[in-house]
Amino acid sequence: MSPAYQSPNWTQVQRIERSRSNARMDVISRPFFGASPRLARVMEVEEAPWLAGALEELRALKAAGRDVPGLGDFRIAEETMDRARQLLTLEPLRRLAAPSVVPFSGGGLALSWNAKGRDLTLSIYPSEREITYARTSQDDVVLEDGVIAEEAELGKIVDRYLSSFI
Amino acid sequence: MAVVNDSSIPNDAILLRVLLPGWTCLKNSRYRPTTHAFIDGRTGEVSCFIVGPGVEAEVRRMFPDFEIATVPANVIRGSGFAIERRPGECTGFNGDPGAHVVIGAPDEVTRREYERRAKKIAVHLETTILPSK
Repeated sequence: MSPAYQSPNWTQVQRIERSRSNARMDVISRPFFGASPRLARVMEVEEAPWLAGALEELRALKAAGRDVPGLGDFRIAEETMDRARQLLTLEPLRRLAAPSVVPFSGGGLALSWNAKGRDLTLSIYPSEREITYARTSQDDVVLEDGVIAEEAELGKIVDRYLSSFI
Repeated sequence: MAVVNDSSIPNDAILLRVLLPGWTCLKNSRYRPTTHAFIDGRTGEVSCFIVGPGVEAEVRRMFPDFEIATVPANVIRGSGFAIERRPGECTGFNGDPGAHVVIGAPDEVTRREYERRAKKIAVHLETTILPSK
C-alpha cells in the first residue's frame, strides 16, 4: 500500500479500488475541483519516485507550522493538508519531476516546479477549494495563470508546461 | 480584508520583508524573492517593517537565520498594494512600534489578481535581497 493511503488524516478518501489491469488506484473522493463526488485517477508511489518524499515534506511543514509575528502564520489546517496530499497524487503530476513544497503565510501551500528557468506553481489556499496556478517563461513573464476548475484542466496545464521544453 | 493605505508613509520609504527559506529564486541571473513572500492565504495581509533607526538590526535580531528583502514603498503601491501601519501587532519586536506595517490589496480582488500584484512586487528590479551580515 502506498504511503499516501496510510495517512490516518486523509479522510476524503471514501473508497479505494485497486485496478487489476494497471495496478493504479481509482479513488472515489469528495470533490477536489468540482462540486460533487467523483472518480479520480491517482498514481501510486511507484509511478512518481518523488511522491513519498513530497508527502514527508508536507508532514514536516505541518508539524513545524506556527504563527510567527512579523513573518506570517504557517499553521496548516488539516483540510489544506488533505487537499495537498490529494493534489500530489493526481495523475497529471506523475509526468513532472519532484516539486518543491513551500508554505506561505496564512496556512497556504505552494507546489513549484522549475526546469531550465521555466516555472509552474500551484497554490493551495486554506478553507477554499480553489487551486491557483501560474506558468512563467525563462524571462520571468507570466505565460498563463488562473484558478484550476477541474482535473482535466490541470492535465492541459501540465501538457503546456512540458511542451515548452520541446 | 482590505488594507487601508497610509499616505503618511512616503513613497521613498524602504520596507523590509523577512523571507522564509524557499521564498527566493534565481531568475535571469537575478536573485529575488518569490511571489509567495508577498502573499497571505487567509487575511491577505503581509507583515513588513519600515526601515528606520535600528529597525534592520532589530529585525535581524528577531530573525537571525533568515534572509530579508527590501522593497520601496512606491513599488508596493505601484503594484496595486497598500501599506497600513500596525503598531503593536508584532510581538517580540522591540524597535519603533510604528515601523511594523502590513501590505495587501486595498480593494476586493480575485486570487489571480492578488497573485499578479504580489508577483509585480517580487519581480520589480528595485526589490532586492539584503546581503547577510
